[in-house]
Amino acid sequence: MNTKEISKKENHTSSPLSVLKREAIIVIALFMAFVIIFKIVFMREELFSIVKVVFGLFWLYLLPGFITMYIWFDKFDIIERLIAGVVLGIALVNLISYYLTLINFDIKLQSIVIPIIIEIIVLLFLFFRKHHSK
Amino acid sequence: MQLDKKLLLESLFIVIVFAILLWISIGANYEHKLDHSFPRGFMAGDSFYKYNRAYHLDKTGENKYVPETMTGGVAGLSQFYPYLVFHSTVLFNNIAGLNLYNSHFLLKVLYTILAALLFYVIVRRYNKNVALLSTGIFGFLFIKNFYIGFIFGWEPQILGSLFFVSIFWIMMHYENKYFGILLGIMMGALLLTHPPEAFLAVFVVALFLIGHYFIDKKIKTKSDNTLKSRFEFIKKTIIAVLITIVIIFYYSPVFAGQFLRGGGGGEPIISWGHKSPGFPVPLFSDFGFFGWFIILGAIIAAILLFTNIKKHWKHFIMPLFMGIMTFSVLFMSIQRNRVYQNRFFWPIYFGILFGLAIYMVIKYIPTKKPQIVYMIIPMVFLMISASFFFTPLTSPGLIPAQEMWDGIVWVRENIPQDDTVLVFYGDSYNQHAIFSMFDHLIIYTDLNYLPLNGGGYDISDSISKVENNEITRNYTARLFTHDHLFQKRISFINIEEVDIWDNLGYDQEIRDAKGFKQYDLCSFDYVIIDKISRIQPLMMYNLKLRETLINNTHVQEVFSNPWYSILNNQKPSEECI
Repeated sequence: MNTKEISKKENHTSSPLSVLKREAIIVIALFMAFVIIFKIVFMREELFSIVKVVFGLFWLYLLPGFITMYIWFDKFDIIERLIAGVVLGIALVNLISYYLTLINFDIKLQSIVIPIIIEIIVLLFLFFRKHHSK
Repeated sequence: MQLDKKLLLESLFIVIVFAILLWISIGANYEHKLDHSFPRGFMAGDSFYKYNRAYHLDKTGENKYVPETMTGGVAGLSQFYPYLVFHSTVLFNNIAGLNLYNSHFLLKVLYTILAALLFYVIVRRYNKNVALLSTGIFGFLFIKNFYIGFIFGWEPQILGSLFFVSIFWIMMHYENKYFGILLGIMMGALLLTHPPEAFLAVFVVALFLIGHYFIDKKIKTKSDNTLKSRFEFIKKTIIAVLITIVIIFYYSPVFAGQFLRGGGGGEPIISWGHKSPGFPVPLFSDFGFFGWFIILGAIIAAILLFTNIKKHWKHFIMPLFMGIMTFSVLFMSIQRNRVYQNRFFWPIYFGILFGLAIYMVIKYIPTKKPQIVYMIIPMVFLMISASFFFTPLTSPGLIPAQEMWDGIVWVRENIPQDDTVLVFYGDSYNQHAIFSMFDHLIIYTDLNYLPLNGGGYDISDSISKVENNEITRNYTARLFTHDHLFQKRISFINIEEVDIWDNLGYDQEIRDAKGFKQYDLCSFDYVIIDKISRIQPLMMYNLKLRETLINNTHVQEVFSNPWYSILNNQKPSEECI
């Protein structure tokens, strides 16, 4: 079964929001896996520091990008949406940061605010698209 | 939800590959610690420059101007260097809470691993087993000269290459809705990260569109002759261009005026002729016997393209295009000798050829081959590359000890910006950008070079004083600046070139001497002296200088550790020798 067939099998009867709910568990498992990996690789580093680093990567880049990829949830399977999503997240978050900084928005707050903005916009888009298609 | 078992196994495989690459790239090189107490892996001037741009952004929250400590104290100046990678470092560090230089290093490693995984998902659409096998070469991303970009401070090029790989992914799926918007976003991000890869991306997009038109016939639909379907791809690309323009609108005058003219140097950005690398470059021979699989894969790819170009063309654009662009016989380059930087990603660009060769070898073995075989084989190759080709770094970098960093931080935190600072000889100062770490205007003697070096400046009088063991008041020195040409935005469109040597009042003689002139030792508020050096005469001279100055009652040693002695002259107008 190729990846397109897998994504169709998973998602063809589901909405992106319901898929998102199911895959949230996978993301949590992935987070824990990454904490373990980082702790093994950086064995001399404190666990709390590792957790902050992994949380930073997930919060800032993985979650915004992965959620954005739900726009195409029926085209790509979870692996592709995660990996491509992180790249998309890096681009989106930093582009927004660049322009927010130009208008003197405090960069210390941006790490918290920008991912939330992206996720809200995308979720609203998915909601209204679902509503419109019905 | 239950993941398909094959998908679960594949996910586990990807996670293990990620772990191995993280181990090789940063774990093994930096003693399996992440948050070091002083910067590691800063081996060249660019490392310090990029870090200090991020540091300035973090400290001030301002991203329009170059720090004044790099512009000779002149405020409000810009450089053509785009900003996105600095934002990335600062945003991540605000959450991760590491020392900024550690976030700076970790991210570029993660970008590279992510580019490899993104390439994997690209090839996965073509043939999953080839994709699995191709991961066996990813270890080389962190081996030998492929590692240069990390320690030379080429983060923008690395992040730009990640975005460049994403352009391939986008064009593979260009028929999807909204992918024109996605292309525009990624191109905008690429231009604001590292424009040379954006130039390459334009060629890639053009190649894909040509392929779609002539090979896939997608643009020129046969079954539906409506104008809308015929030009769907063109329409998407126009939208992408418009979005790119919107994204780079603020940066575009700097880009058009400076970057396209060779970054302020006045040279055209597209240049012809053979390029000589000015830095250690990866060679194909660095792949060792892995290279034979790449060559075999190239032959197989050529045969496949010849027999069925429509099925295979998309997936071999990457190795074909990047192979041509990065070999030195190329007679045209967008980046001049920096085109060799794109070789750092050869393990990614050629990965499909590597995987294809092994796949074809295995394919004709007359036994059943479960999926796990296609995962074990690349693991073996990764282990071979990690065991026999990988050599951990032996030096922590140009800041080799905690004591040196402690002295630098002391200067940052304690010396007022209005006070003048002179730095004498230090082993690491041949990479001048290290002075930006002091976050202060620095005058330096630059005794690292011969009396008359290739840069055309003469410090022979300083050298003769060292040779004669003579301490005097006057030394040839110069003010550290990252460059002497910067840009100043007069209006949104109007970018003016500023020569800070004009601001500093340098006459032609000083300009000819590259900014070097005579400075009075006794006029400085602070003198920074390195106590240790690999060059004994210079170390002894430094110590003699220290003793001479301390003999004055108005000169006090305000900082001392095994690396530095920092002296404060409380009466800069008086005799001190």
